[in-house]
Amino acid sequence: MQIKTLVLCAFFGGATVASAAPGDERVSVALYLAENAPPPTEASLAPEKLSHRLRQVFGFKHYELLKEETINLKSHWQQWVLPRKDFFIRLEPLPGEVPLLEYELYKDGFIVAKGKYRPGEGTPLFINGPDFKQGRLIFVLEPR
Amino acid sequence: MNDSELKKLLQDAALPVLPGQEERAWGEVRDRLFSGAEPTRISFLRSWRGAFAACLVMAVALIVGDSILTGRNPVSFASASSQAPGIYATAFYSHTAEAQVVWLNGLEPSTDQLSYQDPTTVIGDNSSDSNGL
Repeated sequence: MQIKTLVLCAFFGGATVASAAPGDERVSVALYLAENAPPPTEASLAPEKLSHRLRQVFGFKHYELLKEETINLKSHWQQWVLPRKDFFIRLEPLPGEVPLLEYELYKDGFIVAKGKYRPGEGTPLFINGPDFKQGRLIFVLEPR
Repeated sequence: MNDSELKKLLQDAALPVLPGQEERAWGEVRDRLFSGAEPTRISFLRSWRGAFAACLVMAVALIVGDSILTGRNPVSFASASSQAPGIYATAFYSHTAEAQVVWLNGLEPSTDQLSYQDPTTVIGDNSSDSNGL
């Protein structure tokens, strides 16, 4: 009886600690073009799992990858990701035990929004950008 | 103890007690009241072993509840604040997509013709003008 109790406590205690563990050290930053019209055949599309998640939020049928970069959370200096000249993002990992990312979004050269993002295991950040042609630009930050 | 027994007991207790018989009457009523008492639901707490077992069960329940809540709520978070007039920024967690979402409203649509002018280009144009070229 006592052994069973100890095993149970160790299991659930371990699960709790594991869920609160810090995230990964790298984050991919990608810009997607969401659209309902079929993309060109040579276009690079979002993976099926990510595409399904994006569809749940934005409702578009197809998500074409325009550009992707990876940033290191251990580098505590600002990093710019400029997939387009009129819509880009500045990222700065903040020092601390828990990975925390400060971001600033720029449209036409002016800052339009800023905030913070703590990457969690398997939890990406979707940023709803401006409309473009018949679709929409979406930033996706995903822990690697 | 059913209702009829309780009624009879109360009737007996309501009978006048002769002077000097109070102690004996109370003893009789007390015996009848508590002799057949069933153990209550928390009677196990009266022993140390029972109390320890109850505490253990509560601790396990708390740990399980915490793990369930932690699993449901996101480990990550996101915040957003607007930095321009006419732009509205909202951050929320989508349970269906299992993702943090920052939603911006009021952005002008993007075009292939960039509205942003590179400052170096502007300076170059001015210098050309000033040189009269």
